[in-house]
Amino acid sequence: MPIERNFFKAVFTFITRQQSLSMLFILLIMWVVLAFLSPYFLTINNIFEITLQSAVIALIAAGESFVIFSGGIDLSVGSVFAFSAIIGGLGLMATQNIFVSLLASLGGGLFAGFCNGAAIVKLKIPPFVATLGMMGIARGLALILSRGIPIYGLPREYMWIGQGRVFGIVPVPTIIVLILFTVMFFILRNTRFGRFTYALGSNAEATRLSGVKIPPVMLGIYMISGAFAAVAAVIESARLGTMQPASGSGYELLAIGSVFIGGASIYGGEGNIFASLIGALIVTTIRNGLNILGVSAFYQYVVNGLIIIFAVAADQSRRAR
Amino acid sequence: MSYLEMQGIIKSFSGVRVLNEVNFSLNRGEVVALLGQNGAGKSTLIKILSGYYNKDGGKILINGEEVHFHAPSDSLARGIRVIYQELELFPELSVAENIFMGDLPTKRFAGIPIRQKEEIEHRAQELLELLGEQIDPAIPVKKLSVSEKQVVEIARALAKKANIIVMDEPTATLSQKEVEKLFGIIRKLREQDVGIIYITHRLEEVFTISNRVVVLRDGKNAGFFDTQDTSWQELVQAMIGRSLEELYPRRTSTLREDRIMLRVDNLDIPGLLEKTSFELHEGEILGIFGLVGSGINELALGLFGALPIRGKIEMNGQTISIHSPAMAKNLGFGLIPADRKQEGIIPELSVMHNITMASLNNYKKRGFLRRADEKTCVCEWVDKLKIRLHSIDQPIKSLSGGNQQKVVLARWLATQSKILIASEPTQGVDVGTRVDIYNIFDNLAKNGLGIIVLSSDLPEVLALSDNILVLEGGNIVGRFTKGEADEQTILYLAMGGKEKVAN
Ligand SMILES: Nc1ncnc2c1ncn2[C@@H]1O[C@H](COP(=O)(O)OP(=O)(O)OP(=O)(O)O)[C@@H](O)[C@H]1O
Ligand SMILES: [Mg+2]
Repeated sequence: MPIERNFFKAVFTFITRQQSLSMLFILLIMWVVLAFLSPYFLTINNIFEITLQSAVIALIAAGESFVIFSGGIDLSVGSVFAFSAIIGGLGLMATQNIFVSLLASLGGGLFAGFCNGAAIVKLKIPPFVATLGMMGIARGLALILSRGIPIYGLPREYMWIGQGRVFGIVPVPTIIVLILFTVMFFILRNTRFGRFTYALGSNAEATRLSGVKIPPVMLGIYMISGAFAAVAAVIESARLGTMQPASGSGYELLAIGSVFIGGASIYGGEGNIFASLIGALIVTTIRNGLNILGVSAFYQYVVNGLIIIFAVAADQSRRAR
Repeated sequence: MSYLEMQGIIKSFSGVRVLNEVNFSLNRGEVVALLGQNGAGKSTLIKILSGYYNKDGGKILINGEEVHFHAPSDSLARGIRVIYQELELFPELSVAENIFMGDLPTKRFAGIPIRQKEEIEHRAQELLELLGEQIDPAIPVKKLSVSEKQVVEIARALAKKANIIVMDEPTATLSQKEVEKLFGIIRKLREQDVGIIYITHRLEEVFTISNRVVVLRDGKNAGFFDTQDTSWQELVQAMIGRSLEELYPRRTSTLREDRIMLRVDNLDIPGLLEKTSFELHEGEILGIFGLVGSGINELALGLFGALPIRGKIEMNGQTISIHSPAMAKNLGFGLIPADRKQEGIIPELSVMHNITMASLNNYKKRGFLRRADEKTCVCEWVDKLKIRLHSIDQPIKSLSGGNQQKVVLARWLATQSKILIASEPTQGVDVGTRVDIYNIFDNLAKNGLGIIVLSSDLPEVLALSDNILVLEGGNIVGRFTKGEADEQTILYLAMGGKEKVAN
């Protein structure tokens, strides 16, 4: 066999093995290329714009990461996003208290996640089906509760969460993302719950036979996913100054795509949450880049779909040997 | 020049050399046993022969002609069939479909292939009968026990005509009766001029079935022997580089008659186990022997709360109920499961995380796991069980089969279990480490643990146990204390008392 072929094979193997590393590399390349294509791209403003835009998807992807690492999938995050936004909006209108509103949103997300987990554990239905059902239910509830009408008139303090800048430069959402990802990274790495999340995805039966109580772990995982959808919803509501019952649709595609781009396996058992963050940045950069280049927003769905397919295909080929 | 020649084979994984200029040869019509400690490189050599791995150096010749295998299909095309150590069946498909997977006989209807359920089931039945097995070819494979799955795997290789058949530890989970059947089949294959590579950790088998022996140690050739001219001492010396006094060391402690730890009364698992009663004393090793389908695996899972049970269980005089493995663990039970791949290893997790899976509470401070504490414990067991690895952070799926088994053992030895239920604890473990494990069990018993060893390895049961139960068809058919047990009677009972035991 000629040496060149072996060499390229080795390079290919390295890239596919270290998917998260190579994704960071790809992200940087994308930024450089876009900077050449558009003088506007590499401005401080646009860079922060990207971190701001990616915050929402990144947070949903953080919750989705737990689910995917555990071998499941959560299709309901986009709808739970809208549901918890509306719950928070109703709480705000009823009490005019921001904290009540935030707690209501979080509660809504946790509750939806709890229902997902309970359906999987108690009714013994696969995550795909349970969360597909929730996708419909949560969206429906958001529309019913809001009577289909967006909620406006958020107080300035609420909007600070989405629009504020710390030290006049770093967006608040960016800081929230960094803090939450770091916390979740430690939970995955250094707690029993985190360890069990990976173990469930790798071999659920062996995990059970190691004396692990599966139901609470499963509930926890889906509640985290719901909670992160809620946090993302708060940030987006605060950014746009409104809560929309139709918001978040298609976000599950972006979030799941981010996790797979980060190199997580569709079978679960492995993955790194910071890699999902890089995944979210890539997804957003593509969106942002297409915008700057003047490509119609409709193409973005196509691109996102393609990304998921290729990210998983790369994972499969890595697994083949 | 032999029919198959492997010359100077080299293979590395992530920079670590696991095969170093290994030579191997095989003629048609002979059985060559491939021996070596866990991690010596046997399976890797075989995977190179089967085209599963690419070699980094060396040559493979068949009939004097150099061949290049880039994928399993290349090797299959040259008539080489491998029965892997880790079974590779499709759990949802039927026994018959598994056996004929890849070449399902098809009839065409208007050009469209249609499945012929009856025909393949009929042909599967014939093959299984040839193996002397009564397995319904129509049921899905996931319903079978480990040993039955193994039989299906063998039938699957038999279904395909081959010049070379490789068996990587085919008997690790088979009991004597199946082993004898397998040997009958191997002899038939040998008469038909098939060459067989036979990997095993059971030395008696080497002397029964092989013509020659090739020994590997640390990825290098460590000896070539004619079976007639060698002894087990010589083989052990070549394998582990030192000699062993005995393959089955003596127990040094005895049970405490006055302390009953566990009393099981009329335990029932619907359809699998009936009215099973026994006692386990402090410091006792209770051996439970049974053949395929006798219910030993179910008994182990049932006691550990993994299968629903009926009946009364008393622990230290108190009636307890066990509804889940988590409950069993809290009560002080530990389980080493029989099916390593499905029930034991957590493949993507590291060796360290696999070992600490059942004892995470020990390494917790203020809710966080302390890596340093975990590491100390893990290194201790890696040492004691001589687990061969590059790093405790490598995923367990990259360990050799026997080393994976040791990790699963370590998982429960690292807990403070008071009652250890060990199902086929030494499956796939090499002779040297096996002795270490027997000594560890002896030591645990000396410290007051109660150990239940459920095994289809009769010499193991005889050597380890204070008391022996024989299970057949979900019923206890014999009870012996150490002195009165003899091999012939136990086998006779385990086979349902119907057949006379050969030899
Ligand atoms: N995919 C892999 N990645 C990294 N290391 C590997 C891989 N497969 C095998 N090894 C290493 O190669 C060595 C030889 O393994 P191999 O499976 O050939 O041993 P073996 O002789 O079959 O042992 P056993 O008796 O336990 O089955 C081991 O140290 C193992 O850890
Ligand atoms: Mg092996």
